Amino acid sequence: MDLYEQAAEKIITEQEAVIGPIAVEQANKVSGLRVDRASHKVTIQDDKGKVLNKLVQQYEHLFGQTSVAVCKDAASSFISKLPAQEVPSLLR
Amino acid sequence: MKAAPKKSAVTLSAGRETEHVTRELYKQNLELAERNKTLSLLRKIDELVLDSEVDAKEVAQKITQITLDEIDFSLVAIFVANKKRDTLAPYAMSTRVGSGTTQGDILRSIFNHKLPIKKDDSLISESRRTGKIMVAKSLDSLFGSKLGRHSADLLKKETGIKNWFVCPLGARWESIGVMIIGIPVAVSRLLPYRRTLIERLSSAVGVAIDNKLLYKEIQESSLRLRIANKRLRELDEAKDEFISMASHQLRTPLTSIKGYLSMLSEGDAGKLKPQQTEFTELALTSAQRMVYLIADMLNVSRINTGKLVIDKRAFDLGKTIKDEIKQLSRTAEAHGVKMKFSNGAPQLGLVNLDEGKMRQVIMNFLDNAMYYAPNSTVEVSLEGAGGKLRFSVRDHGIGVPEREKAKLFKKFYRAPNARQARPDGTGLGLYMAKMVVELQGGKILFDSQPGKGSTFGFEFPLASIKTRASKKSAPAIEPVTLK
Repeated sequence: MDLYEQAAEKIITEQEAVIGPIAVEQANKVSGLRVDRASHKVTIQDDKGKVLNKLVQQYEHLFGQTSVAVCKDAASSFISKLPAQEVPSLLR
Repeated sequence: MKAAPKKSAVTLSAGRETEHVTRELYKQNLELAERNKTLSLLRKIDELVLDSEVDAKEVAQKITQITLDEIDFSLVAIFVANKKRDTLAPYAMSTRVGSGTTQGDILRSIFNHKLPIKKDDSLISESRRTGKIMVAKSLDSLFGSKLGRHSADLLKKETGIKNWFVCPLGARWESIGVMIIGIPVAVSRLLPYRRTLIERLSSAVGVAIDNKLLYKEIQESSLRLRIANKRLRELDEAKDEFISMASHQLRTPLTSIKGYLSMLSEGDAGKLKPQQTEFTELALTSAQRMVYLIADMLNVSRINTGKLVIDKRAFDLGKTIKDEIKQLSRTAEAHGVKMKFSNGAPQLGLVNLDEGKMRQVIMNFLDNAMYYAPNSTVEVSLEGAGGKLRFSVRDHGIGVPEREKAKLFKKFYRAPNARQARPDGTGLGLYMAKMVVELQGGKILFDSQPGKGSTFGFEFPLASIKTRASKKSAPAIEPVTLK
């Protein structure tokens, strides 16, 4: 998995700790993103930055700004390794 | 038509309320999830401390590792102050920055050096001094001498570690070190619960490390004590062996001396002049004292080896007391001491005790009274009342200082004033007296006032020592093993 996929996996794991299996269900609703229910392995197609942003938006839509903060926190160690211009906007 | 807008307004309101509730529930769940995470981490740290096989450095290393496993920190390092409190020694470091990379190697090198503890305004000093968590944006503000600003900025960029928390590690109202945590986000973006976790973590880690260090200290002290105890036991055994051997060696010639003096005194070598009789009897008394002294030493060594034998026979205690007083009469006269014996139990009859050892106990008490209360009257009494038999020797001599009373009956112990009054004592008489009396079911009596005198004695329950049997009754020999 690349950095984007690792970040997505971590976001989903952290959200699952808060809201349970619904976190995986919501992630699978994001187009371009697939999560394996058992292994939590994530595959992202197309523009990975955009897909990651959509994932964050999915949670924000349901659970608000607090969930965005959780996403940022979860993804921080991966995102910090990306060049600034490649960091998805919602995770900055 | 007019009803529709109201209905959609209600629906909108209900929808907003649901959204609000969902978000509130999310926040509460988040709080619970973070608390669980914190508790889980703290529990793992506690388990580490309870593992006695692991030392403080290993505990520190495991703490840094499990913290990194549970929480998204980039680096966790622990430094512990040395005993002189002039240096912080590196105890452990774990990081997500890969080993084998230049950045990883630099970090490992930096965090592997001792930090001098200075009373300056550095962040580490301030954190230790105030007990507060400090935040640094750059590594050079923590390790300035080892890392310049330029290198620190480069490292920040390459590793993604944006801020450093310096957390004081405290225990028992003292600073024992610091924990440094590198995080990949700006402090302003750190969520409140994460800050709370850092505070709780530094508190728990301080106690964990301190407990481990204390445990190590206790183990080392215990080992030193065990070695010292073993040495003392060996010395004690060697001393007892020596006493036993010396006593045996001395007894043989002494028996011979006593024997010949006794024969002389009884006129077996011809009639003696009055002065010769006096000298012979004095020599005989001294020889007898030596016999008692040696018997005391032998009995002490027998007690220590568990070989003391109590040989109970029926005998007349009142007569034994009179015999001992008579034996010591010349010595008493030499010290200007008058011994007054009052027998308040003339109908006592025979008692069942170890006559030889009781004779020694009585002699010890009388002897002490004479030496510590010269030129005075010593009152000796035997009473039977309230179901008890009491023997006491009361003098009006130097007495025993208050702080010495608790140690008086211990082996070889002599109070300072007693040592002054009688330099040649062994410190065994009272110890032996207590052992012999208590082994036969009795109790030692003791009372004293410094400068006014002392009372020494013993007491037995009449029922346990009284015998209706005649003097010819079979003796009861009981070997006594002391634990």
